[in-house]
Amino acid sequence: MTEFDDEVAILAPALSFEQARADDLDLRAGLAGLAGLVSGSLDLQELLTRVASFATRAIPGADGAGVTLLRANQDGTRIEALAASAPFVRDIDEIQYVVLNEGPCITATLDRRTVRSGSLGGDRQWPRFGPRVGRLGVHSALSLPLLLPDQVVGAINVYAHGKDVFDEHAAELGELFAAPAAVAVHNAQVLAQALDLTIQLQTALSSRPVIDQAIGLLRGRTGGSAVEAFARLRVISQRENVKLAVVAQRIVDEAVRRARARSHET
Amino acid sequence: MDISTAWAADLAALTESLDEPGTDISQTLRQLAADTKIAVHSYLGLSAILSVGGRRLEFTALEEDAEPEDIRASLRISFPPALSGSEDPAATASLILFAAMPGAFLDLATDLSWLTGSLDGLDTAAFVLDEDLTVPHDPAPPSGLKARSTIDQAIGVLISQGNTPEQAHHHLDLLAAYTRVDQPTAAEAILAEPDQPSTAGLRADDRRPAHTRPQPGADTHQPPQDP
Repeated sequence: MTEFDDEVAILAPALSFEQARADDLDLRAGLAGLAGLVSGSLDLQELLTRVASFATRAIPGADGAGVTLLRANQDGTRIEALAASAPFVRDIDEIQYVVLNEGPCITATLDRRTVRSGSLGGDRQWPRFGPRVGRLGVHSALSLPLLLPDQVVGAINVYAHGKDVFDEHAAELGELFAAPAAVAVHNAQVLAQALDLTIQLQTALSSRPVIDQAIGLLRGRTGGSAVEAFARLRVISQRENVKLAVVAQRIVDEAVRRARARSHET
Repeated sequence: MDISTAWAADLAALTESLDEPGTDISQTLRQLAADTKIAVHSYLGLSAILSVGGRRLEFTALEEDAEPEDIRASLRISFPPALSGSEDPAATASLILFAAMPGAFLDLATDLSWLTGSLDGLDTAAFVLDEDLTVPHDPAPPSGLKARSTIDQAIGVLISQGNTPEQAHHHLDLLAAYTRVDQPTAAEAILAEPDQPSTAGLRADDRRPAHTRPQPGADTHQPPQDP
């Protein structure tokens, strides 16, 4: 027996060898997808959508998956659905996070444990969520918390239309996928935030000079304060629905054009 | 995270320039710090070093109670202009993360290289370990952005008075030289009387704008000649 066969036997002693081997190959394919996850762009939503697709592939029976993250903001920490591999998952996320604030993913994230249901419509754990999702024709759910050593950073939610699709074996495979996925998602998030910060600083740094020049121009014309001039710029920007930097550039360009014309005349 | 008052004001001004409702650069910074700390427990803070359109920005934000001499590990991430979306091909942008434990960023750097795979410009060369064990500058210096803002606003005032940008810069240079002050101080003098009619230059005292005239008792040396 090879090392690979040993793993298959440990993972799923009750399955046929062929089924266990096929499941293992799917899991490996899903995990391999995590390498090079951030390819093409560093858009967090895009890469989480890829993680959701890899999860759908790695977990037997899955028809779709979504990824949610815990996000800290000024009002505290909240759960945000950020990516879905299929439109029906997005509909379920909307019911879970926006409409009801109840469901397996919220339970998995808050309790930091894998949550499974094979008949959502009659599941008493989520008396409002279950029936609504059941009516959409989705009956099985597997929610896997994304756990780092001392922190939960989100969850992967896997759904299937059939009943009792996710057994213990599927949950085990899901957990094997979720462990490295948690690290990958979190590190990708760190990188995406580092890039966000860089882009925000660079964009602001490049637009600030022309905004300041426009403030000076308005102050020169009206004698007001910098705050008043900025407020005026903002009003123009909002009225015309144009970015502040674009309005500022237009004001400066126009004044410079006039100054150059006058300079050529003299 | 400890963001000094000066940097908080700068970050607020930069956020204002971004003009993106819901975006707060300080909040992005805090979120990055919080998430980095989850990945690297001994995280101490970060420095940002950027240059775009000839303007340079450097700042450091350390965690509360962290001191520059605590730094034992660093990870520098350099973003190429293509990735950061800058239109300036000469733009540079690096973030340096600091930690207290030697080798603290090894796993994160390895994971990031693994994750980014074939992403253009973010190969292994973009992640540099432990070469920046000192902060690149004083974490709480006087704000340079405010001085640049003052100068740019003064240039705007001078343009509003009919000067081309070149004339406006020249005017400001002459004023600073004539009054023996630095450019931000000369710019402040212009902004103190923004609606004061100016002249096209400084060739003669009687055409000189009010803010260039020597104050009573001031040194009455001759201004440099406007070429």
